[in-house]
Amino acid sequence: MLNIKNGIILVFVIAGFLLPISIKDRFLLHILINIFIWSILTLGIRLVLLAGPLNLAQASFMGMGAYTSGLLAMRLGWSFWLCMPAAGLVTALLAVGIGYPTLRIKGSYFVMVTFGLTEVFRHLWMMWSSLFGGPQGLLGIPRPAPIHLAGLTIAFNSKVPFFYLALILFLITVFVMHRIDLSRMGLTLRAIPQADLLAECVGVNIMGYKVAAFAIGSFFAGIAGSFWAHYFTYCSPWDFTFVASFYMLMYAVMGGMGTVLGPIIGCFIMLGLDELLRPFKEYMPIILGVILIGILLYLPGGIISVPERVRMLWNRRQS
Amino acid sequence: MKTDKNKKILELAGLTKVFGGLVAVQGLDLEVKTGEIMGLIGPNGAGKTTVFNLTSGVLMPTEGKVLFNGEDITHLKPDRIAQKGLVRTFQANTLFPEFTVMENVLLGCHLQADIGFFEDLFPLASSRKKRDRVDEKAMDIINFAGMHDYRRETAKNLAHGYQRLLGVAIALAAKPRLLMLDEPVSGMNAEEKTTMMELIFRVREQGISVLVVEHDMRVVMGLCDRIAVLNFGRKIAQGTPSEIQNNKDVIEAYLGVDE
Repeated sequence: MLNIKNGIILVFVIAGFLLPISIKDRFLLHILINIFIWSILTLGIRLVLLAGPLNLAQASFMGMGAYTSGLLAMRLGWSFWLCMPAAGLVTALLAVGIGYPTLRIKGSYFVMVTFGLTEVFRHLWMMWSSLFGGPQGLLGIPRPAPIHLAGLTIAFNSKVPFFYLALILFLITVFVMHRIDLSRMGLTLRAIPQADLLAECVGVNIMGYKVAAFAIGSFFAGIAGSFWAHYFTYCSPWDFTFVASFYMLMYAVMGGMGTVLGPIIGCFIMLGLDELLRPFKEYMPIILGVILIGILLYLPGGIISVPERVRMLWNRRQS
Repeated sequence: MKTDKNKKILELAGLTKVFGGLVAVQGLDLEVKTGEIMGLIGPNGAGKTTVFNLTSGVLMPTEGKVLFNGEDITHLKPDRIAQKGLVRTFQANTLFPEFTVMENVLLGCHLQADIGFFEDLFPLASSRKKRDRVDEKAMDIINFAGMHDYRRETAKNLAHGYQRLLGVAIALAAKPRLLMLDEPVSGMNAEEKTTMMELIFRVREQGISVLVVEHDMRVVMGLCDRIAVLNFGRKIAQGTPSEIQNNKDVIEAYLGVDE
């Protein structure tokens, strides 16, 4: 049962849970929380991309989750622990409603539709100010209620409980996405862009699979959005533009699309680099752009394929 | 196999398809009897592939009906038609090129995998048993198609002949009652053609009816129980191979020019 691979994963998970004990730097914890949430979003984009469609509205779905969760908490006084799953479900249902008519559209046209969607959502949030609070968004979203566990009270008034919550959400997402990869659903999704007509002619309901992937990816975006809203205690239309979705796509491609691990590595390295190079903040898009081009040219499998590439080059030199 | 020889598995009635101003298929009546190998031939552009697309739901006919086992399937989508047991192959080497042979056939088994979404996601003992059963079925089909040695090969790296065999194997995995083959031996050498013909005969022995479009006359004559000939979207003749070979219209329209 416990092979090397599982062992390494276990070490990482335990290390993740122990991190806040050794790290006292609140800012570092915040960066890690950020990376976990971006990883969830990026994995959602990747799942849909497996079947072909590129969803540039992932950030908007995150936004929908944030607004849903924030409004349920502020207007109806729901507990965060109800708001979060509700945000996920509302976002997933929205994805089903939007996916059915739009996922029929192929290739770059679908990308344009999702790009348009982000603007539709943003204007909805801006214009319907009585509900969504207009350009300044929702202010004063309550923090999650304290949890009472075996005599222990966990209050969400510092980075540490948020870190653990983000870590757990991240691990759940990774687990589900990895299981999908190994499942028949994963096989079917990956088959669709290779030969969709053939898949259809052996009985695959292509629209059903695409919509399901879209709904699952959006569900996790909604969860991430809910976390976001209650972590920062505000959200605004400017947090969820297509630029954010584009970064998610970039992290997925840089890390490598083949496995669940790729996009995670992409998020860790790229967001980590983003922080390390903070002194050169204004040059960051240029640096990222150059790295992206380099990876697309020389590492089509993403950062995750580096060991394999090195081995290949090494073997070539040996022979 | 206790198949009623006179029962029709597929019936096309007055099938017509118009593309803009071009009549690709006009008033086609055709039937495939249970357990037979039926051939559909005709010069290039005669409308054979269009007939396949209309029957398998890839295209909708302008007029006419498609009956499968007496049931009207004219307006069903390809995946629903496949579920009913009518499965087709494609003219080109249409495969899942990045998948291994095994994964290709596993995808063909899609309909037979009676696994629910959550069952699929979480590795419980019961779902693992179901997966093993599907794997076994896929293995059986790979063996049946004579591709056991290539089961771990990536599909795009296979030789042409094996890619065509794999195309048939994927279709067989969907458990057809009628298998429609679109030019199964095109581009093959003599040896590969013989292998494919043998496979098609063995498919029929399994009680699966076959409708085949093919250009290779030797293969068509050797394979089919009955043959229908299309020219300019109309059926100009129908009968046994020897009847077709001696039919004047056919010789004029097709064999006379081609051979």
